[in-house]
Amino acid sequence: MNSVFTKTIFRFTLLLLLQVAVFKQFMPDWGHASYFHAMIYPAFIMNLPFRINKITVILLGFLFGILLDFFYSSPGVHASACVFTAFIRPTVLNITKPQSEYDILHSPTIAHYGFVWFATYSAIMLFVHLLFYFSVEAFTFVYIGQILLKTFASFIVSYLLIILFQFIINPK
Amino acid sequence: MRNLILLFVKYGNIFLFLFLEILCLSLVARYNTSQNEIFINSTNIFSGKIYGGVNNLRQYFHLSAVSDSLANENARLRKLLYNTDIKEVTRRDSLLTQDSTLQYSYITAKVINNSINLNNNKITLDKGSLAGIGKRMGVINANGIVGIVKEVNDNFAVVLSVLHRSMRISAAIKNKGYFGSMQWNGNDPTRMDLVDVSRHASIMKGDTIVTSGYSTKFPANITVGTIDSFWLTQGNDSYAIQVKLNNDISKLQYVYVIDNLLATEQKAIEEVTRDE
Repeated sequence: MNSVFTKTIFRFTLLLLLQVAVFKQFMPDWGHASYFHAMIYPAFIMNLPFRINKITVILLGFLFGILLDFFYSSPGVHASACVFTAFIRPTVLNITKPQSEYDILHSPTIAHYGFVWFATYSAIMLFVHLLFYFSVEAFTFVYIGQILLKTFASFIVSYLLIILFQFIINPK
Repeated sequence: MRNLILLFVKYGNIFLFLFLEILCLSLVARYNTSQNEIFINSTNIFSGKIYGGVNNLRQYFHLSAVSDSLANENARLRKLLYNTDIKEVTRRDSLLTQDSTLQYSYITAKVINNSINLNNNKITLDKGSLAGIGKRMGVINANGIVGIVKEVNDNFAVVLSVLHRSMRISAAIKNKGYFGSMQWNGNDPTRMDLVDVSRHASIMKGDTIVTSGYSTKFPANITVGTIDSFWLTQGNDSYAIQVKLNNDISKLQYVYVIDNLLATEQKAIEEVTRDE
């Protein structure tokens, strides 16, 4: 239990720092709107161990999101997207359940369930997260075209980053 | 009780999710100005049409009152036309008459949504930027001031009513020159407070309050109301005055949006000397 705890804290800090210190700066401008947002932090919610119960996952998501919001000075935007992602995590895990079932002692990572499984799982999670995030940021569905464009553009960048992150850190 | 606990164990995550999500969204709406304005604006897009329809119907019941007020105003304008104060028009030292530019132009608009019983009241108008209405323009009607334009889109405008707590209007006591800031305390829709009036002012109950013309939003000398009561504030350095509004905000129908054509010019020169 102790190692789960320290690993979670470690990834919490690492991803927060990576996001605000490195990837927040990466925003190429096309005209006056920037469509590509590099977002690596959803990996934190994706990789949380199975052992952590649903309620704690949601609380962790909220804490993580609200800390991000401090750095982005956008109270509530990241937090609401993180809470939503944390809330649907069990459902997504259920949909993508492999033949061998999940082992309660593991984390949902490439090392345990393979590349194809993780690619599917993280794609769904990331897409939902980004769509929710940009909808809250726009705060209305009047600009649905803009929202979708931003979601797809950011998805490409963020997806590559998250997969790359899995190979570099590889948290078992 | 046991069932209640079981319910929480089973659906706790959903309750927690909903609670946190509502918390987050309220944070978003409250602290991010852009989202706040988007919220006002998109409410506007959807509700504007509906308000327009409702108002069309409601107007039939007020037709006689409207024609009365229009007739009154016609009479007043006719009087102005025939009794024009010559001195006023050809005043030599006035910048405006020297190059004979017009400073204020007026845009007529219809009120399609209004409230007086909230803490922060807003008014929706049936015209927007296509008719030339812009943000931060003043709004008046025949009886006095109405508010200041907060948001516009193509066909609608939202006005912060004078009955809005964040409203500050520069006003003066007619013919005496002492000025202060008008605000609403949130209680009585027929009264506003005029604060920060110099304690040297000699004021009397019944004195007329007019706009000071110091801001770029309202021209000077538009009647606002009359003094109802006044008292020295704590510390005795200024008067606070309760003003009875001349205008009945609950019965607005047609209003004029004031387009100050020289506003940018005035703002620009004031901006230059801001740090002096």
